[in-house]
Amino acid sequence: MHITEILILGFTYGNCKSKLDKYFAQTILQDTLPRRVLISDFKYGGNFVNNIYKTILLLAAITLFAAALYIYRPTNNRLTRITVVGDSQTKIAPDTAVITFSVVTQDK
Amino acid sequence: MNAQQENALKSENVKKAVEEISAGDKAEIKTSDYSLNPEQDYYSGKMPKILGYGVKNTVTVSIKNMSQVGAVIDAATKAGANSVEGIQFVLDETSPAQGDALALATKQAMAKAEAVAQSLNGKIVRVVESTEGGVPIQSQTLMENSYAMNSNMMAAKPVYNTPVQAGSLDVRSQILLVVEVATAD
Repeated sequence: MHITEILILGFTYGNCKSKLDKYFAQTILQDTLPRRVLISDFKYGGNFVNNIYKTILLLAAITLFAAALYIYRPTNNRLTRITVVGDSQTKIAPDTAVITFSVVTQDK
Repeated sequence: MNAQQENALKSENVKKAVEEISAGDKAEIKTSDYSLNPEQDYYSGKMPKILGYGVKNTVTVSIKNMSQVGAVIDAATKAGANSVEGIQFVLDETSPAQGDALALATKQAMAKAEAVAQSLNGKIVRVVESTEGGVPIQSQTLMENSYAMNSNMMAAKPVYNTPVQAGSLDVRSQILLVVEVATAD
């Protein structure tokens, strides 16, 4: 059997929800593959289906990484640092008065 | 009555007078200095003797109502304060004017940076560093020597109110910006 067909069958079995569907799927698989492989790899969604998901995730991650590399690709801009000084002077009416006074006494 | 007791009584009177005149204006009264010193005779050619004691109680009053400044001085001196050591006009630290001045300085600095970036055919990418500087420059202490007569001027012993003009403060703000400009090769 071609590897693509095995993948499809395995995926079909993994997505079966009712017992009847699983039974039919398993029957088809049993007819097409050696029993040892069917029982160990495809029962209850098996490692084979998990591997498909992992492969898809890996491909997605690689795609994202490539996109990020493209977006943040080095440009030819040169960065120059400049220093500037801003100055402002305004006249404002004061809002507080501070008065200091003393009481001085002396013995006579 | 000794000097210390006399001083305590007069100081209390001054405090009450200032509180009374500035009631409702949130005046802050605090003792900024107090000293009691013996007065000795150093010029008699003999061992110095203590002749008496001198007591000085210094009070600082902060008021927000500028129109009350003259009245506070008058009330304090009438109640027993015999030395007025000065008036300072300041800007409250929480005043929005300080922030406005800083914002204005920052805008000016950014405008300069933009001009430099344009002349380099580039654009500002980010501000790397900003350092604030500058302090408010206080105006000169103003106390006019002239006196204004009040409505009692026709009385036998006229009463004068102390005129006080606050003037204006120069608030200066300075900021130093370091910006990064991207220029194409």
